[in-house]
Amino acid sequence: MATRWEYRDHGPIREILRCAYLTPMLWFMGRAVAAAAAVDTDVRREFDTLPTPFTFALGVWPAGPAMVVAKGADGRVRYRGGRTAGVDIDLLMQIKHLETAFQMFTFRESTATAFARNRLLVQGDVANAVPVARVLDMTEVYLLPRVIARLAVKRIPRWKPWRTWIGRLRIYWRTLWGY
Amino acid sequence: MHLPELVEFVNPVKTLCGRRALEHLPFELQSLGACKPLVIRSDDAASRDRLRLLARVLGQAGLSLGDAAGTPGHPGPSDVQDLAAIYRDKDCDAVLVLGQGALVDLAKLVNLTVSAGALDIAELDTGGRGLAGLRPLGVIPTGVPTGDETTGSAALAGKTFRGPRLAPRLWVLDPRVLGDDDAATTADCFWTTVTHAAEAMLGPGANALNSSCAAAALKLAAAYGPAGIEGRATPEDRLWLANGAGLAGVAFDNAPAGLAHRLAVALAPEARQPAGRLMGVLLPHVLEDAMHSGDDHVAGLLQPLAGIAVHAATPQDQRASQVVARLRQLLVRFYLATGGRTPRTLEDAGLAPAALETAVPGGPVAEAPEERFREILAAAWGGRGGDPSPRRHP
Repeated sequence: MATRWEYRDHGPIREILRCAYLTPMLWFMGRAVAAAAAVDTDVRREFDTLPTPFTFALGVWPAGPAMVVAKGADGRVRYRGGRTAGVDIDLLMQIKHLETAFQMFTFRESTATAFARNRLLVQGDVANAVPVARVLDMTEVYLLPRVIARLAVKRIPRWKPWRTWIGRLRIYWRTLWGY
Repeated sequence: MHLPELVEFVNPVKTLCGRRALEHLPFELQSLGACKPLVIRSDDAASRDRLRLLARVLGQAGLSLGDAAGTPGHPGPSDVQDLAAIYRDKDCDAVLVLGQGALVDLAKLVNLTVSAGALDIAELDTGGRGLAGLRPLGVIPTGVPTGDETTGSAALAGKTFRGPRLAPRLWVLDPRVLGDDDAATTADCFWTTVTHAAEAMLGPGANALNSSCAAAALKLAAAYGPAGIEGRATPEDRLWLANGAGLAGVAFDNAPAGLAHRLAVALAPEARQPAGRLMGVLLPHVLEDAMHSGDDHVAGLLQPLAGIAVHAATPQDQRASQVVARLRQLLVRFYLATGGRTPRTLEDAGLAPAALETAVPGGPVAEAPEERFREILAAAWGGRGGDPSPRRHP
């Protein structure tokens, strides 16, 4: 007897909750990177190794939340918003799935582990991705309490406590006020 | 290692294996130019749960899917036609299978039909189309695979289609989807994997590329298979056994089919048993025969099968007999673990001595000396073996 095949369509899903979490996280992260470049000498040094001008983006593939950060011709680092469309991007890093991004930004999978598991796409010069990854790691160390930062980054740098605390205050202040 | 003058090796199958491997699928599909796959699955509760997960993973990445659910016990040409019609009507552009075994064979032929623009499987030509000419096919096993999923062959209604391009492009093993199966089915997978891998390493076309693939498959099956059959498997064991089965399929595709495989396939309809079950019975006898014929490559199977420590501790001249002894030991262990469902001999498998004639020359395996087949089959029927004296075939 011939088999009866039942057919059903399943369409794309709008993940409002996950996007509502990831969008402000990436917004905050993007502004914090710009603030860290102004506050911390190590972050500044990493940006100095990048070409001038230089724009990089971190987002969720294919068209999820994102952050765009640019180093201008004057060397100043600025957050350029959350839209990658129409922006000339030198280095585009995309997390392959929204769920994976959620795992990363809820600190259940570190950036290094996600890289190792091939969960990120890098388009652009890979040599530039390395300093950018270090910048993101240092920014996370500034933003997060040590116990959470340990889950997010591979290795916590050995900074003097005053550097961490004063730097954290300055970065939070600049991130919130956007300068 | 024997180095042939010409080596061909192709592995068209990309493996996505491990924690949250399913989340990589939308990107892989879109890289292959697909945004609406047709998912073929059996219509049961477990499969519905897995489909819900798959639909969510694809949906979050902005992809749609078409879900075709049915309960084909033994798929036939009408199933290929029906599914090909659904594929065309609903504007699908890839095929995914949630399942293993016959469902994968069905999906391979649906893919070939829609890619070739054919209406009937009688019009199909498996050899002529290049890889780019076929739509992407992905396999997501939900239980223990049979070991044939990643090969370029598909059997449907007693007819076998074989072509280098029939193999799937994606092989997705995610612990959330990969379920458990009964001990006998797991043993079938184990023996198919071990036979395909061992014969790929020993065959006339063996080369460094294919042997490394086969050795990895053998290692994975030996390390993770017995736990699944003896009821103490963790999800990780199942995952790595499935990985081994996939690799063995690739190795099998790159080598001519070995004797144990061909004899088992020839005897399976008569025994009314899966061919994998008979491969387990035949493999030790085929290897013993090769050993007695002076094939010193059998000894090379000990390292992937038993590990480097055992390999190093075993004198060179005893390694081949150690391989055969280990396989026999596993055969008895699985016989006991499955309550006799996994046979130790062809007699256990329900074959009458007269039925063995279906596999000797004149039948499907015709190019080797007749006497050799009779000896192997007679030994496998009665479970004789372990004779250490060398025997040279003319």
